[in-house]
Amino acid sequence: MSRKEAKNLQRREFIKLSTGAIAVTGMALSGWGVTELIVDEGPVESWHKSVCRYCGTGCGVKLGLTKGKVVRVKGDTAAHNKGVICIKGSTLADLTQLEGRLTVPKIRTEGRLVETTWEAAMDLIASKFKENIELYGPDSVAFYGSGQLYIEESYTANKLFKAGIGTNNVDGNPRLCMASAAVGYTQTFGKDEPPGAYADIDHADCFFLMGANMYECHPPLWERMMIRKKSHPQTKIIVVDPRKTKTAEHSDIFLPVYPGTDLLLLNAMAYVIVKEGWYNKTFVKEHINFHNGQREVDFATYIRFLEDYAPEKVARKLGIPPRQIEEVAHWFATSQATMSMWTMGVNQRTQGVFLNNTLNSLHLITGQICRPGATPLSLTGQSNACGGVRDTGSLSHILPHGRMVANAHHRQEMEQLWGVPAGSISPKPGYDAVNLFKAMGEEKVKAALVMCTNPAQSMPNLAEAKKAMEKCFLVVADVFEDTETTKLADVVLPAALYLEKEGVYGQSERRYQLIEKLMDPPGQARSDFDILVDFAKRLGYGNLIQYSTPAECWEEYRNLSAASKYNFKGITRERLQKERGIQWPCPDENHPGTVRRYIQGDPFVQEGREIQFYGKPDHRAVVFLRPYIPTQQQLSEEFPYYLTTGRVVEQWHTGTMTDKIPALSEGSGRGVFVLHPSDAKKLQVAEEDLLEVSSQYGSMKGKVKISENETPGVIFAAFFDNKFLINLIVADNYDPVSKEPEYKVTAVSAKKYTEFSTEI
Amino acid sequence: MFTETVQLVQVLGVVLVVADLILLLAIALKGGKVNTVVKRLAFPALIVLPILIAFLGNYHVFETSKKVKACMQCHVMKPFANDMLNDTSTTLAARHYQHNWIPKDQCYGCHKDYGLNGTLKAKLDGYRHLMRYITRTYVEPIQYRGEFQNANCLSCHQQTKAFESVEMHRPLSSQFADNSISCMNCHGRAHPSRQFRTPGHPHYKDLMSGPASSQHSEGNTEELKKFVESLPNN
Repeated sequence: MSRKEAKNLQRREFIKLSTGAIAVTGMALSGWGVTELIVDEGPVESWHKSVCRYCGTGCGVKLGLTKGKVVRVKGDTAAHNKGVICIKGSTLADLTQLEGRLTVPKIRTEGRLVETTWEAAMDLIASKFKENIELYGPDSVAFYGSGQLYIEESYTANKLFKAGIGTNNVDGNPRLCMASAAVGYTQTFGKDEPPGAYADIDHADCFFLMGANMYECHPPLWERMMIRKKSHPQTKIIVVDPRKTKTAEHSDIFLPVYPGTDLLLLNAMAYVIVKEGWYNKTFVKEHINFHNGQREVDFATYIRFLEDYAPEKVARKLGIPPRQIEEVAHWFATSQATMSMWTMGVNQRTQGVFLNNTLNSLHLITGQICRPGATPLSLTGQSNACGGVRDTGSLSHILPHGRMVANAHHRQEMEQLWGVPAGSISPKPGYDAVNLFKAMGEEKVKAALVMCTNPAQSMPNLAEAKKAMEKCFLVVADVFEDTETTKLADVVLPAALYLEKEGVYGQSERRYQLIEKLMDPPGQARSDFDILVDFAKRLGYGNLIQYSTPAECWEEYRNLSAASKYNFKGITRERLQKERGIQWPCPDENHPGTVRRYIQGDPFVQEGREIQFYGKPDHRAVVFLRPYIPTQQQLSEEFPYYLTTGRVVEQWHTGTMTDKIPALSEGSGRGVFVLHPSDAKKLQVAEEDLLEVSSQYGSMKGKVKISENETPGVIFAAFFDNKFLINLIVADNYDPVSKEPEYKVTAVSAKKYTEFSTEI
Repeated sequence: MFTETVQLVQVLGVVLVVADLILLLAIALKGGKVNTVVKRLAFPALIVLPILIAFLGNYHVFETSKKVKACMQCHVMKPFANDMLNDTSTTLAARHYQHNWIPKDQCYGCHKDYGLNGTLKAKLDGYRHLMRYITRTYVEPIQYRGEFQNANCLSCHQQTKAFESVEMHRPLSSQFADNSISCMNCHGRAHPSRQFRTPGHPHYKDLMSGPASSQHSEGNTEELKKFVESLPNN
């Protein structure tokens, strides 16, 4: 082969090899291109961080939007809930697209709601309020708000009514769910809101759940607890509930106590803990005072008080064996870390405050507090009852950040902070929820603004409350026209819903989170914030409410917090836009927020102090001696059953939103009376039969469902169904301090209803 | 001797390659003369054995790419795998692994999408990952593109007693089928969150270093805050 030939051959081979290499690379790259093109990206154009609309868990969510509509919802893995939400949260997309929205203001004319303009509606409202204030004084008007309004909205209403109009008639639905917990914390620690956080679930070895059906009402927290249990199988779950709820089904120890008796259990546990020496002597010595409600007492007096609650003395009344009380006391006191969680079963009781005090006390005497996993933590029912109402002081007896209406110094502080003349805030606490509606019935309150809530379905002794509302000039701002309350309204105002407005939510663990506006409200609907700012101007309080946007309002509010132990001045709007919520106290912009209070990391705990209950003057928390007082709702021959009410997983509160979502409505079914098979046999009723249930407040009938999970002698009914208004027969007696009604215990009679029954 | 078919295939493949090389060498040694021996050797050497080798090779690649080890070869996948292998982790992946709910090929088990095109889709996606990795066209923390298919969960869980006993599953069957509601909404995150997988996060180093680390402590809030501040608006 000549050199030339050899060269040609090399070149040819080189070209061949190069072509081959290019072909292979081309195939690889084009194959890659094809795989990139065929990836199914899903239907979402942009994702936005937000917070779930519904319960007090306050889950972080990611909302997927396409063409301005929410098309996907998922849990935010970067938020405190670590990506877990529940069935209700999963259907938030449906919520944002519900039909039948109220889009135009309406005024009742000749019994019918007739469309009008905002101008006419707001003028009418302002003139009616002014007229009543002039004729009958400021206490003749009222605001009834909600634990679902944004913080800026509740804060504005509270400021307008208390510092402007001069009445403390500002209350709302959190009175019905959280008032006992708020008073309980304040009495025990000197400050409202829980010392611990959800993160404690990841560290607890014993969960004491009382009057809380977390499986159905706080599913993401339940899931977190289950994860703890699965990764640490020795973890104990103790459930105290008259009903064998889904939560109780998954417990290690279930105590099915008789309704209304559980304070006996808590005191009996304290008795066992003290008797067996399981209390934490150092903690008791260094951090606790004992108090009998009138004066401070010593530890010996506490021991004597507990003697009446020896397990063998109370077991019969509780309906559980003494040995079980001892076992539960053992686990509570001796586990590495015990965490208590509770909600309405404890709060909605005539001894709600005493129960809250005593739960806190069990943690204090055992030292099961101020450590990761060891803490009491009341769970909130509504998304913003804590941040929006408790923290802003939007109840009739309180002022912002733990101040009390009845305290002259607190009033003076708020008058200075709000820049209003001394004496502007009335020294007289306003009406609490139950008494507010009674006052409407007695025509003492003549005009009321109701926002974002549905009292004509949620109030106890409902028939009376509805009659009362009919007597009052009732203004209702809501997103739907078909709620039970709008049916009684003289003026209805179309409100923006959830993502159609901007504001801050504060959930159960002192975490403030921002909900940003992602879409416009339908028709002429306006945010409650805009309605309140407009209302203030029309009443002549434009100087008091100078801000016009939620962001400006937040600026005022966070700066104002610096004068309190709630101090969250460091929670700026910018941080809220960026971070997944921040827990207060958070005094400056570099502070990371406070997971656990009263220990190092809390900015108000002095350096060198391991634990400091700074809410109390001597920095010691209080263990109260709280005696068991039987409820007024006692069983009798006339009323031999207990009725207890609650929620089901698919529905939220009065169902105005969730009951319109097909998947949720189908899942829950309709409102029914749920009975144990033994009661069904006694009453000779079968599934789907009609049962007539009566209390001293009224009578109603509904279908029967039979479940082995109910306790014999107890009838359960959910309250979401507006065709099954169970609150018509629920008692309206309430805790004497918190004024929270006793929804959980009503003595009733029951009998099978047939069309031949003559009484109805 | 061989616990898995893939091992047998691997050995068989090597034997066939060696055999083919011997045959090709034998042909080459004939110096380009085409005689009967060459003709007899050419058919298996150039046709039969290469086809068999290609088939076995493909099978081997398909099978070994299902292995957790294969996924772990790319460093961006390490946080996922290390978390899964961590016996204190509480992510869905780790819990499935800890309880041996998926006995082998755990990554593939939850990512093959099932259905008619499931395997093919998973392979194509795997190829895409490989190309992204070798061309360095990815950004950490990596993110799942599109939607995780509920079929991956339902293929095992649906019709089990535990699944059927949850009443709230029933009204959502159509939403599960069209993926408009993800199983993970209620059952939590499958892997460490994006924050933890972001270079610079206090837990990133732990996640990259191995399964023994515990990435579930609350960490230092100051460090976390600094990290959150460093994130772009989200």
